[in-house]
Formats: sequence, structure tokens, C-alpha cells
Amino acid sequence: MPPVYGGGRELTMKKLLAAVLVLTVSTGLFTGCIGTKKTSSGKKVPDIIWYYPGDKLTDLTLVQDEMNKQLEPELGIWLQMKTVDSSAYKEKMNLVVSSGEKFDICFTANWSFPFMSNVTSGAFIPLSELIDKEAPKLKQALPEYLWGSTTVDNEIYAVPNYQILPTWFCLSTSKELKEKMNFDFSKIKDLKDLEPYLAAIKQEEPDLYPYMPSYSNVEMKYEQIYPTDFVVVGKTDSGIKAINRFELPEFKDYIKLMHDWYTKGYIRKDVVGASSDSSSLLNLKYAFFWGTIKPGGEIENMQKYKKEIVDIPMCDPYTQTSATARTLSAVSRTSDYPEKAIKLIEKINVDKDFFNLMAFGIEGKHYTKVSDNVVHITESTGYKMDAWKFGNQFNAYYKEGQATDTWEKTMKLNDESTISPIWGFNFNPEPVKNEISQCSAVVTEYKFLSLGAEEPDLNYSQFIQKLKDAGADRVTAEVQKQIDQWKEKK
Amino acid sequence: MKRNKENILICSVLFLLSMCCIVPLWLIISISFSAEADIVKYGYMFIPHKIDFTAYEFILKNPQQLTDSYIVTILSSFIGTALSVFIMMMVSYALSRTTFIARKQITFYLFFTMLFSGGMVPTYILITQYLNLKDSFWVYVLPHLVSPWHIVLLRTFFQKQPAALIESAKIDGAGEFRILMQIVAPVAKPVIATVALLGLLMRWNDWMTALLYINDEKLITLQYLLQKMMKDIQMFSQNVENLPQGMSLADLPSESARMAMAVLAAGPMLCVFPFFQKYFAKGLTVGAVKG
Amino acid sequence: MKLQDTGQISVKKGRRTNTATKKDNFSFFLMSAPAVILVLIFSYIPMFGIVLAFKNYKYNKGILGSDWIGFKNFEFFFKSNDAMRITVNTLYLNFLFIIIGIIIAVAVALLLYEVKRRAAVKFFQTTMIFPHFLSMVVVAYVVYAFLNPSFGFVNNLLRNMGQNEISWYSKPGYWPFILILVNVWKHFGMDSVVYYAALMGIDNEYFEAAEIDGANRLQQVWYISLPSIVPIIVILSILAVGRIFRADFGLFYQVTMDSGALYATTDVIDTYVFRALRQLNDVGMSSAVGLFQSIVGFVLVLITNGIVKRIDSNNALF
Repeated sequence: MPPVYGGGRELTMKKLLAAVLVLTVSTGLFTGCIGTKKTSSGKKVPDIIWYYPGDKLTDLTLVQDEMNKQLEPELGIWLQMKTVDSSAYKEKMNLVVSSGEKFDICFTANWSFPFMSNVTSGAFIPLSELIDKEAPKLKQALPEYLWGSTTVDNEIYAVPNYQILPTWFCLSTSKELKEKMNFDFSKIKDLKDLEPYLAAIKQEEPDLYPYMPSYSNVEMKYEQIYPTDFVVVGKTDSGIKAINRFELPEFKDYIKLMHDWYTKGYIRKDVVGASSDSSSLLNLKYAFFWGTIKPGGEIENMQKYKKEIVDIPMCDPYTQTSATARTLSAVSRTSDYPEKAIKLIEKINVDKDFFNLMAFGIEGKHYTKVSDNVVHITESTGYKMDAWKFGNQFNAYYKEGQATDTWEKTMKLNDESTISPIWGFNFNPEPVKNEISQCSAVVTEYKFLSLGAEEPDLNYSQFIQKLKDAGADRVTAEVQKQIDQWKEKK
Repeated sequence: MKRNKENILICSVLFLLSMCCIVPLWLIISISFSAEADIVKYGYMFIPHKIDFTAYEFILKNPQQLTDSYIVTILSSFIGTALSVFIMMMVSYALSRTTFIARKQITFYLFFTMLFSGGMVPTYILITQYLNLKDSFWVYVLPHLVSPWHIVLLRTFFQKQPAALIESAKIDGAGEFRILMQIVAPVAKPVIATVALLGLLMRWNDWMTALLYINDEKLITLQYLLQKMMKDIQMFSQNVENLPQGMSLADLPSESARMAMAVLAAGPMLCVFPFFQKYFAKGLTVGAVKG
Repeated sequence: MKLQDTGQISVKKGRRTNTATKKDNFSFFLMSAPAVILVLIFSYIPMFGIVLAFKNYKYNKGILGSDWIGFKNFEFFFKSNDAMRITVNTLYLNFLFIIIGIIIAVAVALLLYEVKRRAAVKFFQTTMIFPHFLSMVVVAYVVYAFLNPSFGFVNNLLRNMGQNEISWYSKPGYWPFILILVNVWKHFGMDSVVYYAALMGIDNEYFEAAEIDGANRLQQVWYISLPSIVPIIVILSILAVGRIFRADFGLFYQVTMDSGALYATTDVIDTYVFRALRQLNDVGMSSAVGLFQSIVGFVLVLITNGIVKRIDSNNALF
């Protein structure tokens, strides 16, 4: 065996090892230096960073520059809009906030990057004083009652982005189907009134699933209190009693009804795993399914389903207390320039032209004006922004094809719908955190009851017992307590 | 003759197992080439009702983005794996040598991290605030260079090497590092190749890193891109206006796209695997000891 | 025999090779350094975050400034009625996964080892590792294609054979088997590659000598192949035991379609925590459970490692 090592070669090996070590250490330092925060735009005026969910738009920088042409002289800031993938918005923003990263404004809602839990965790700064001092026009630009939902302990914590408020549940079906089957929907007041229609569908249209389970009479009559999964309040209950929705007679009747329909074949057999099947819904494989009514909704449905949809209202339009929390703008506690941030929010909400610049882009390049208020979006425009995430939707131009009275109708609907008796109340879950989480687990476990696939009686009593064991009554009592306290303060 | 019968039996069993794995693959490929409307109508089928490329068109409609992601993924996977294997090889060897005085302590030190972790929040703070790795290519490489699991694999294998091998090298005056590189490593090719493969796969399939730390779309990896597309498809059904031109929502390839993505994700690695197989060759001579 | 020979040679030459020189140890330290430093930075420094399990984390106070609340974050988990069920499910299912997984992966590796044609080995291995690449979401869809009550292949088969259909996603009794099957299917290919690589390291001479001595295939496997890979089997088992309290979330959540009716046999620690904290988004509570899982895993590893040490200290982890 010839010796292949020894003597001088030793040194080379050692050198190699040392080199590797140096490489590793220096890479570490290297990243320390190279990874300097690239966020600063290098401008003389301070940066205002605005996080929002969406897709990175090709022309974002272009439009942003255009916006800054106004912002720099007027407000002395340089706006940087930071897109975060919608699907990851909650996780990413959680980390951004937990790590104390510096930013100024962000989008929040009760369904995405939850507003309430962030308020209690201290992510956002109180805005009442700031708005009064720095952005008085903002207060006036939005209706008084709107601010109620973002007020916690008498402090405003976010600016609502004004848009449609009430939820108006309906059952939907295609017009084509209605005419073919000669359906008359005027008699339908309650979910169970739907039954004869389902029977007809089952007989005449075997290719379709007659019914897609979703909402029930419970949602028609009661409003849920977040973040509990089960405490509700009657929509027209001026006495405001907190109830466990699963103990309501309406719920008991509902699951019996669903099971009945399941056995009769009105609900698809594999309903348990079918929740992710969006294709069937979009292809109108369900004869009847749930939706919501709103002005301009017919056009949206047309685009979505490529067929005309008929809606059967199942309740009155109702604005729940969390309604405005569908889209909000909040100011971060890590912002160095909160006054400038709030002024920016004011501008977006008050300055119509500026809002539309943000919403549609640059005139001529991204859109052309068809008339004073209506625009035609350029084909393959590099800028398609979801303006509802930022400001007052009612300031937006109409898109070609939208009815030009949509905003009027919507605002009318907003004003006329029934407002929740607990408008402005925000439940603080801290005292019953454990019970809420245990109950959440139980509720998810038994959600299959609402799908009708299982026999209700035995399962139901198990469910209620489990909920009680998990502390449901304590949660309900706590909600009632907080509501009573809030009522007194009003 | 008995040998032949045994061989046939062995190959049959293995063939059966292979089929168990191929059949679902076949199903997935078939779905990926089906039209969405057909899936709704006929359910999943092993042979598509008619071959439809919508899913692939949808995914591949932005070739620039796809190319960028492929490049990022390939670079980060290979660089990361190469560095990682080298670093782990060294420490595994050191830990396999009974003469190393800190052997037990360092083993425990490394292994402890397999069980205990600070969680996502402190790690995020470390990486973004202190190491400034947010939106940086190196965030794919640095944090996961050391995998205690792989170190254990390597160490176990190194331990099995006959002491004679190493001793004869030491007699000739070789240092430990040289022994590793010139004696042990060549013999340990199978296990090193395995660890390299495992590491490569791990990096190739990772989408979490991009999700958490990368905002710049030029730096996202393939897996994350695919996940994003899937979520976007779900989003489209709510935001109709954002749909690409000329596509109706009913045609939106959600089931087929999901499967197409699975194919695109698994495909490259399956092609890479045969390349590693040659290191699994039998009969590497350990002849050095004989002499 | 070889070892003795060489030993004699080294003794004859007079150089002691079984104690390390200072130079050697220095090399060892140098070689370990990159790994140790990296682990210090990326694993040990963030570990201070474990305190989150005992704190009521508020962003404006930061990790260090938030209040200590002792074991309160653990309460929701331990006081839950489901605590027993999820713990039992997690433990026994993971235990079965480990045992059955190893048996099958080793068996497959041994079978592969016997195959002489390289092309065949390539084919088998490439196809068998394929399931490893699939995300659990896709696997869930494949399983659904089989178990769908209306269109699923299995029910179709049952129907054709004149049997009754089974509503798979509502009957918890079948699911331990289904989950074990799916888990093994997903991992056996890749796991067998590891054992196969270990088999590669066996010196061919042992087999040749055994042939000469007249051993048949089975005996060769029993006396040569298996013992050679015992160290790796043991080590991987110990490591697996460390993770016995952590469930594969994708497996238990996606594949079961999160069907509540199945929870009796499919609900595990990780799925329960996910469900419970869905609305609350509480960092402290999820940290608490994670810490609990780590501690139990750690204790179990120490015990298992201790047992292995007594049998053969070379095979122990540390």
C-alpha cells in the first residue's frame, strides 16, 4: 500500500480545514453586513411603510411613485406599499408584529390578522387623540356609527374602510333552473319551506345535488360573539341575553332537518369531505346554495357563475357589530411617525382623486375614463389593486359594467339595515381563554352534525355534555357579564 | 434452482410494492391532465376523459417567475446541501472517534436541539432582527446547515469502520482530517450520498422558509410558488376580477392544478435520484487493510 | 481475525494508536467547530424563547417584559376532557408507526439487497421513494379517491361484490389501520434507502466466507446483514422515540379530512391544539404544549438510551 500522505501534505490539509472555518465564520459576519435592512428608500423624508395582503403588482412602484409625487410635498413622507401574500398574511404579520419590526400602517380585519387579539396584545396604538388633532377631516368623512366597532375601552384602534356593512343571507339558484322547473319562491320564508323544491330537483334533475348545507335559522336570527365559537345574542333582542347557540331549539330542529334531508338524498352522500370541492359550486352542481345579497351582486354572480343567479332572501339585512371589522387600517406601535401615518390614512379616505390613483393606477396607462365616474380598465393592465383594503370604497370610480348607482344603493342599505343591539361591544376573551379554547375544540369536533351525515340524537346530547364539561356555561356567563357592564356604561 | 425461485419471489414482492407506489402516481398524473369540468362530472379517473392542459397552462403562464424560482431553488438546494454535508461530515467523524475527549458532550449538545426548540417567534426575531437575513438568499442556506439527525446517521456509519483502517493510516503519520477525507469518506460513499440526498430533498421541498422570510418574488422557491398558486386559486373564486383574461371561474383548474403541482414538485427530484444511486453500488473495496 | 492481525502489527511497531494525541484532539475540535457554532446561533440562542410557555406574551412588552403566569398556559391542555384521549392516541399510534415502519423498511432494504440487476434496483427504489415527495394534502386527496363514500374505488369495489358500502369518514374503528397504512406507504421507500445504504457498507468478504461455509440466504441475512445494520436501527429508533409525542399533523388532519366523527381514534395532541387555538391565536399556549412534548420526548430518549447502553454501549446515542 503506497503511502499517500505524510510530511508536507499534512500542512495542506490543515490549511484546508482552517480555510473552511474561516469561510463559515466569515459567511456569518458577511450576512450580518450584507443583510442590512434594505427597507430604507434613501429619501430625505421619512418612509411610511404600509403592509397589506395581495399579489405583487407589476406596476406597483410606478403608481407608488406617482402617489409619492403628491405625498412628498404635502405630507413630507415617502410611502412604501409592502405586499404580503394573502394566503400567508396572518402568519407573516403575526411574526412581523411579534418581532417588533418597524412599520407604520397595516391592513387588519377580524377574519385576517385578527383585529381584536392584536388590540389586546398591544400591536396597535390608540388613535382617538391623533385623529382629533392631526386628521379631523377623517372623523367627518365617515359616518359616526362606523367608529363604534373599532372602539375598545373608549379608544379608537383602527380606521374602518367604509364599504358595504350588512349581511343579507339568501338562498341562491340559477335562473335557468328556476324557469325550467317553474319554481315560485314567494312562499319560502324558512329553510324547511325549501323541502318540496328539493324533492322536485331530486326527481327531475338526478345529476344535481339538491342542497348544499351552510347556514341555518340560527344565523338568521342570532349574531355570534367572537372569538367564542358558540355564544350568540338575538339580533333583535333589546334585553341582550347571551346564549349558547347549540342549546337553542332552532339548532336542534336544524340538525334533525339536515339529517332528514341527508337520508332523503337531498344532501350529497360524501358531504363530509366535500367542503373543499369548490368546482362543484362554481359549476352550479348544487341546485340550492347559500349566499348574500348586495347591490351590484347580480353582476358579480354573473362573472362568477357565468349564469344569471336568482336570490331568495332568508332574513332582513342586518349589520353585526363586527361588520366594519371586515377591513380596517391600523397604526403599529412600532411606527416612528404616527401623526404622518394618520394624515396619510386621512388623505386616502378624503381625497377622491388620490384614492382612485391608488385604486386604479395612472389614467391613460392603466385605465381610461368612459365618463365622469366610470372607467374602462386597460387590457392586461399591470395594476389591479383591491382598493377596499385601503379606504372609503364609495369614493371609487365605477368599473365599466357596474351600475352607476351601486354606491348610493349600498349606502342606503347600510343606513337602513338593522343594527346589532351590541353595536360597539367588543368581547375580551382573556378571563376565559382556557374554556374558549377547549370549547373551540369541541365545536370543531361536532361540526359534522350540521352536515346531516350522522344520526343527530345521541351525538347531540354527547356534544352538549362535552361543551358543558369544557366550560361553555362559564364562557356564556362571562360574555353576559361583560355585556351588562358595557350596557351600563353607555 | 432454489436460488432462482427465491429471486423470483423477492422480485415479485418488490414489484408489488412498487406498484402500490406507482398506482397513486398514475392517478395523480391522470388528474393533472384532466379538464376540471370532467373531474366534476366523472370524479377521479385513471385515464382522463380527454387530455386537457389547462392546469399546466395555468401554472406555467408566468415563465419568468417559474424560471426565477427554479434557479433560486436549485442554487439554494445544492449549495446548502454541499456545505451542509461537508460540515456535518467533519463533525460526525470527530464524534465517531472514541479518542475525542469532548465526544460525549458534543453529541449531547447537538442532539438536545432535536428535541427542544424556542419556537417560531424567537427564531424569527433572531433571523430578521439580529442576523438581517430577511429577503436574503442566505436565509435558505444558513439556518439549516446542521441536522442532528443526519449527523447521527453519519456517525453511526463512521463508527462501523474497522479500527484497523484508521490505525494503519495513523501509523503512517496521517492527521485526522486527512484520514477522514482520504480514507473514511471514500468508503462511506453510500451513507454520505444518502445524507446528501436527504438534505437535498429537504431543501427542495421546503416552502416554510420562503413563507416566513421572503417577500421579494424573485427570491421565492419553487415549492412556495406552487403553494401560493394553490391558495391563489382559492382566492380567485372569491375575487373574480383578478382572474386571468379569458378564463371562466368554472374552468379554474383547482383539482387538476393541485395534482399538476404535485407532479411538478416531485418530478425533478425523482430525476435526480438515479444520479445518487450509483453511490449505492456494492462492493467498495476495503482492500487497503489487507495489505 | 483481521483486527487482531493489525493490532499485532501496530503493537509491534511500538506506536500506541488507541490514545489520542493533543494534535488529534485539536483536529477534532476544529472539525466540530463549524457545526457547533452554527447550532449555537440557530438553535441555542432562540431557545430562550421557551420562556414564552410561562408568560402572557404581549407585543408591547416583548418577550422579556411580558408577565410570568406560571403554568397557566398549560391548563387548557391538561384540564381538557380530551387530554387522555389525545395523549393515548398520539402515543400508541406513533409507537406502532415506529415498530411497523422499521420492520417494513428493513425488510424492503434486505430484499433489495438481494437483487443483482442494477436496473431492477433502480426501478424499485425510484418508484418506492415516490410517496415521500407528496405533501399530505395530495395524499389526502388520493386517499379520498379511494374512500369517498359515493365514488371511491373501495366502495365501488364493495358494491360490485354485492357488499354494503362503508361510510369511511364516519367510522372511527377503521382509522388506526388506515393511518398506519398511509404512514408506512409514505415513508417505507425513503427509510429503506437509509438501511440499504447501511447494507452497502458490509464487506463482501463476509458473504463470500459464509458461502464457503455453506450458509444459505436466510442464514446470511440473519448472521451478517441484520447484525451489521442493528446499530443504525437502534439509533434511529431512539431518535424516533424522542419524537413520539409529536404527531405528523398533515397525516392526522388532512388525510382524515378533519372529520369530527373520527376523533375518537384520530385526534392527537397536535390536531387538538390546532383546533383549540384556532380563534385565540395565543403564542404562550402553543409554546406550552410544545415544551411539554419536548420534555416528554427527552425523558423517553434518556430512558431508552439508558436501556440500550446496558445492552451494548456502542449502540447508544450518547
